[in-house]
Formats: sequence, structure tokens, C-alpha cells
Amino acid sequence: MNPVSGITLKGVQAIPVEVEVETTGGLFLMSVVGLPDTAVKEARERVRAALRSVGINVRGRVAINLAPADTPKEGALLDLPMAVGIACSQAGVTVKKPSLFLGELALDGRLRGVRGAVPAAFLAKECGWELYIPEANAPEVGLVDGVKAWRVDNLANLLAHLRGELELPSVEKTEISDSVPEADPDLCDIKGQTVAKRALEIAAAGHHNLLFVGSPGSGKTMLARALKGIMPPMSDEELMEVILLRSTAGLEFTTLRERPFRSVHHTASAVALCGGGSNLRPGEISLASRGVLFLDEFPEFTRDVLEAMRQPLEDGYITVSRAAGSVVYPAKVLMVAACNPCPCGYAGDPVEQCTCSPTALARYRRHLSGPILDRIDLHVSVPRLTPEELVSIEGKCGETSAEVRKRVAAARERQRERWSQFGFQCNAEIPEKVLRRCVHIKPEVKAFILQALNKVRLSGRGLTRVLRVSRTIADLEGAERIDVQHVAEALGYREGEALAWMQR
Amino acid sequence: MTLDRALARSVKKKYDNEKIVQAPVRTDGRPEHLVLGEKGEQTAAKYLSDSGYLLIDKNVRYKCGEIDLVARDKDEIVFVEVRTRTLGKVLPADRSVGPNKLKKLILAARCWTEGCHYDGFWRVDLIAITLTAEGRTEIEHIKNITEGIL
Repeated sequence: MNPVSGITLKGVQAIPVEVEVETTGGLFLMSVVGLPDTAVKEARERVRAALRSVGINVRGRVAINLAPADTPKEGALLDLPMAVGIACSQAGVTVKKPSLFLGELALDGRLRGVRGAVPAAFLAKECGWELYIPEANAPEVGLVDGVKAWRVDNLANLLAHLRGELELPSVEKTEISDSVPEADPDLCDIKGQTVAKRALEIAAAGHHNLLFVGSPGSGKTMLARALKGIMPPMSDEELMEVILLRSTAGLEFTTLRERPFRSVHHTASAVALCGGGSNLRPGEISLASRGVLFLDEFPEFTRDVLEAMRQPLEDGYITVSRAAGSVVYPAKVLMVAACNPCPCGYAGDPVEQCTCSPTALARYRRHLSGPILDRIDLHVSVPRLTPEELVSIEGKCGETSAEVRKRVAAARERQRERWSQFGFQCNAEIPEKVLRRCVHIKPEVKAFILQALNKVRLSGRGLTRVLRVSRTIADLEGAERIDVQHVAEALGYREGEALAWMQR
Repeated sequence: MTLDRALARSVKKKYDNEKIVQAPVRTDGRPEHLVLGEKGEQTAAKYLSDSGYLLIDKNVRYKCGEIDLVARDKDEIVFVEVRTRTLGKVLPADRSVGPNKLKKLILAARCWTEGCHYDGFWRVDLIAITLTAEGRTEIEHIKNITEGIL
């Protein structure tokens, strides 16, 4: 096996790419084969200039083969292995142990940071290879345990290291901070909205998707932002997944256990949201994995964007298939959607008059109704605050995020214990079959449900959702079995209650 | 085939460094620019010889183009295009080699290397000679002019 390798990304996975270099006589010419994309092809110029800057004049016809030949290679991170390969064949540099090199070269031989350093570190760890990474990627690679990685700031030092003239600094471990980040905004900073706060707590505890309906300025966005603060901090495993995704997308990494919060504008395309593009990249739904995905102005999203999100919301992962290949990204998001009750925003408002025409209302409704609403367990109406509530500036109202977070964490722990034998984590993902079998319903609760079913129209799936939410509410209280008051509260978050004005 | 063996096999292309450097310039009744060009080539030959190159051949003509000087730089063959200009006339000497001329040079150089079955490294250099108003000559040696064009 050739000791010089690079990587290319396939989804969140790094695929090793062997770099083979052959030099023959003739006029200088460098050709790259092995399905390189434009960035890799252009690497020729960067590699040549960088090698010249360290005193190696590339001569002759240089053929570079990137194996496996049938996998498309993308990105600038193959610059460094190509340069090292040429240095090996023309300047007497030897790489003794199998090593992974990654980095983008500047014309003067400096190394620039790349995306995909964390997947590369996982690959190096798995294969037991040495890893050479740009200085800029050192902190994120330091998060991966048990990798022998070297920090490279420029090509000259790397070649000196390979010749044994110099010792490069190795990557030291980056500490994950265990401090709980301050919630911003804190729940106690939000005035009124007790119902919505309670819904947030339930959503965080059971991982239920959430829809806020309310007139403009009632605080939907602020409530959604507060959700991140009451979710329990990420476990090591979850943090690794988030860091892996962020590294693949080229975003800054984080050592905080704070959950991601991604807010998406309604002009976003299906590709931006779900991932894809000509060289596959994770979308917002994957970047928000293990955290909150906030969709403001929910009905304004185009239909196909919302439809595209149905399957990943259900499965917790998304498979993106393109001509370039098919990849799987995680998509375990808690979706929070927010919308106005009507285009003008004031339907059902006690003060303002709604000015929407029936046609406008019908059009708006068409966006909202449909299978996507089925995926949302909690429908909450966020009413406009009364002047008295607004004026009460002094002091805090209600519990702080930290207190709620404790309850949420306890409820999650209970769920994990109960569902771990079935391989699930939280109430929202339990299939109906398992739920019916494990939730022992008391006779009086059964009678209550029957009574409720006679009053309100509720489909079979609707009933399951009510049961799931009631299970979460019971978990929050620490109750062993679902009780009447739990079901009663859950019925309040049923689809249609917050959107009652629609049935006019 | 190595350079030495390739050169040894070719009777025509034996080393005649001194002869090329000291060849006289013909001036009788030829147009001025041709004389200037030949003088320039003479200067370039001397410059290359002084800087450690071994001259092998000069003014090689093929159907596809012409090479002014062929020299040897250690283990590499160098094909040199010499351009001589008086300062201030039309283009500066180093700008006067365009893509078409480059193509011709490469073709001719390939003819030369294939002619003597040489398969080692080679390159194309440009020597730009500028005659200033005070009668001085400025020599600029640009190595590997075909490098770096994708």
C-alpha cells in the first residue's frame, strides 16, 4: 500500500484516497486522473507553486492517480497529499508509515484549513494511520480521542519533518467544556405565555414537534429560541455527531454541549434544507440534528420544501441520492414551526380586526393543512399579551430555564429506561404498536378517552399522538401510568385546537 | 534513453560548445534585423556557456518550427528561444513570445528529442536581449516558459 493518502468526503464519512505519482521525462505537464472535480484539477497550479516555494522544481510529465478511480473526488483537501506524493517521487522525501494528509495549499506553501478534518480523524483512528492536518483544524481534531495527528503550518516544515530534520508539533487534546451554557433568552425573561412555556417543556421532554400560532409580535420567535435552553446538554456521542456534521459542512466547531439551533428563512430551497447539491453537502435539517430547527412563517415555505421534510422528520435521518452517489445524513431534529393565524395575522385577535378575504384565508389554509401537520404533535396558540402583562416590567416571571431543564432531563431519563429495550430514546419516536402494548391505561382513563372521542373528531393516528403526549406529561410528573389529567392536557394540544378558527 | 547515450548515438549532435559560441556573425549585405538577431543569438550562446550550460546545437530547422539554441543543463535539455530588441521598439523582447510561438517551439523541440530518441527531462527557456540607447545589452533569462499554463 502506498503510504501517501488523502481523503474525500462521502456524506459524513471520509473515504481514503490513495495518491500515486509517476514521473516520466519530457516537457513539464501535470495531469490528475481519478474523477477529480474542478477544485482538485486546479490543485495542479497550487501544488506546483507551493513546491517551487520550498525549492522543488517539478519536472517532466507527472501523472497523479487518485485511487479508487471510480469514486468522485472533491474539494481542495487533496492538495497536500498530491504535493507530498510529488516530493516523494522527485525530491527524495520518504513517508515511512501509512499516513493521511489533508490541507489546502497556498501558493507560498502555507496550509489553509479544510472542511472534513473530523471525519478524517475518525478514519485515521480506525485504520491506525498517522494524520497530518493544517494548523487551523487542530482544535476540532483534538476532540477525537486516540489519533496520532501532527499540526502542519507550511509545506517546508512538513517535508523537513518527513526527512527527519524537524519535529512537528502534535495535536493536543481539546477539552470539552462541561459548563452548562446560559439560556438565552431564559424562560423567566418571557412574560406571560404560560401555556406556550408548558408546551415547550413537553416538547423538550418528549422530543415532540411543535407549532406556534399567534398574531405578529406575540413572542413566537422568542419562545422558540428559549427551547434550546431547556433541553438537556448533549451527551458525548451526540456532541461527536454534531461536530462531525459541522466539520463536513465547513462550519466552526464548538466545544460547548449546547444544542444547535438553526433558524431557516422561508425562501430556503429544498436542497438547502435537506442537503444535496452537485457535491453533496448536509442541509439545515442535518445541521440542526440533535437540536432545534426553527421554521418561521411556516405557511410561506414552498410546498415541495415542506413535503421533502416529511420523511426525515419521521425517520430521524435523510438519504440524499444524486448522480454523484447517495449518502445518509442524520436528521434528528426537534422542529418548531411558527405561523400567523391568517395572512394579515390578526384572525382571532381580541383587539385587531382581521382584514383577510375568504380566498386569501383558503389559500393560506391550503399551505398549512396536509400531511406535514400530522408530524407536529403539539399545536399551541400564542395569544397577544394584555396591556397589564406587558407593563409588568419588574422581576422575573415563572421558573428559570435551569429549573425546567432539570425536570426535562429527569423525564428523558425515565423514557430512556422504559424504551431502551425497544431501541428508542424518547416518546415521540415510539411506534403505535409498542405504545399500545406498553402503556397500561386505567379503566377510568379509557372511559375519559371514549367520552372525548365522542365529542371531538379524532382519527386513529390522532389518538396515538394524544397518547404519546400524555405519556410525556406523565413522565414529567414522574407518574408510572397515564392519568385522566394527563390525557386532558394532551387533548388541548391536539391538532385543530389552536387552529379552531380554520373550521369556520 | 539517457542523455549521454542519445547524444553519442547522434553524430550530428556531438558536443561543439566552443564552435557554437565562437561562430562568426555574417554581416555581408543582409537586412539589419537579421544581423541583429544573429548577434543576439551569439550573445545568448556566450551567456549560456558562461553560466555552465553545454551547447549542443544551434538554429535547428524543422517543418514545424525552428529552435535557436539547444543546450544541456545538468540532466536536462534546454531549448532556448532568443529574442533581441532595441529598447523602445514595438514590444519588449520578453513579451513577443505568444501562444502560437510556444506551440511551434514545443513541436520543434519534440521533433528534436524524438530524432535522437531522448526520453529524459527537457524544457523551453527564453532569453530576452534588450539593446539600450547607450549601447549596453541587457540579458534576461526566463526558465521554463511553458510551465503553469493549464
